[in-house]
Amino acid sequence: MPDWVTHICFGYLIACLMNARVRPVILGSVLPDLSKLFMIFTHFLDHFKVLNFFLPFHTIFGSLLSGALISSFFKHWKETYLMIIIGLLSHFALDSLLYPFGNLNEFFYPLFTFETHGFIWSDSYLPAMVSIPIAGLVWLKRRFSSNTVF
Amino acid sequence: MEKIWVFRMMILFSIILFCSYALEHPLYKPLNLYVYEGKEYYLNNFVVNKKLGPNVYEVRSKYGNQSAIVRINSVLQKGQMVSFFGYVNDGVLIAKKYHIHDYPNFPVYFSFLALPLLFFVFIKEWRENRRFPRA
Repeated sequence: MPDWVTHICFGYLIACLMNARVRPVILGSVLPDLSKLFMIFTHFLDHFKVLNFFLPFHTIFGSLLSGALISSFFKHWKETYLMIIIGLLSHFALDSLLYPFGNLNEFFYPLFTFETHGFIWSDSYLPAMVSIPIAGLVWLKRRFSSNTVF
Repeated sequence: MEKIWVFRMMILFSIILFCSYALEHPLYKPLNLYVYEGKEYYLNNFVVNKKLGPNVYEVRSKYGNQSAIVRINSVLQKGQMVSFFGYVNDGVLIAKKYHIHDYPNFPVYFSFLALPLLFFVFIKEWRENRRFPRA
């Protein structure tokens, strides 16, 4: 995964480009990384069981389900759900750019999986260095042209 | 029970069902390089554990305590996190390319910076757009 700051900045930029509500897009852009909860439980339980149990959160179907659950707590749930889906797609788009040597892409599990070759390493700070200034500039522009914070 | 809670329970049940399915049909299994004999393969984010011989190293995964043997025409230091790409011969990965991760924990630690922001965003959205606002 790229870091969450990059995911948030990317989601924010997409929301601004689409003139969408920013906050649900930001929430959606980190939602698939709920699967990273395995990092906590792997210290107590069998690694592969924990890894496979949390895997569905990092798939399109699993994240659509978790997005539906979260959006059900909001008033305009259809609109919120749509914004969360935009965030989810931005997350998967960024993640598919990772691992230049190849990696198993589980986004469409359980239908099919395939191997992808991206061009950014997961620990690279380049995406953050690019996305943070751009998102910061856009945020400043929006902040001073209107009264919205997010 | 309100209809919305029935809907939420259904979604929650579906998520648990999906997670259980993934547990029963695991995508990630313990590493066995013999499966990829003669083929190209990669090892992402493995830590150099010890030197077994000239140009031969035992590497371990960050999680899961898996190990593999890698032959590489380079000198690696113990504790370095490295990704390898090459072909498998007799259960040993002959690395053609490799990448040393200088900041292996960068995404995890940097992500903690996003937590207050996420919390702020969620609370703000919740206050303005929750389903049943306080009277």
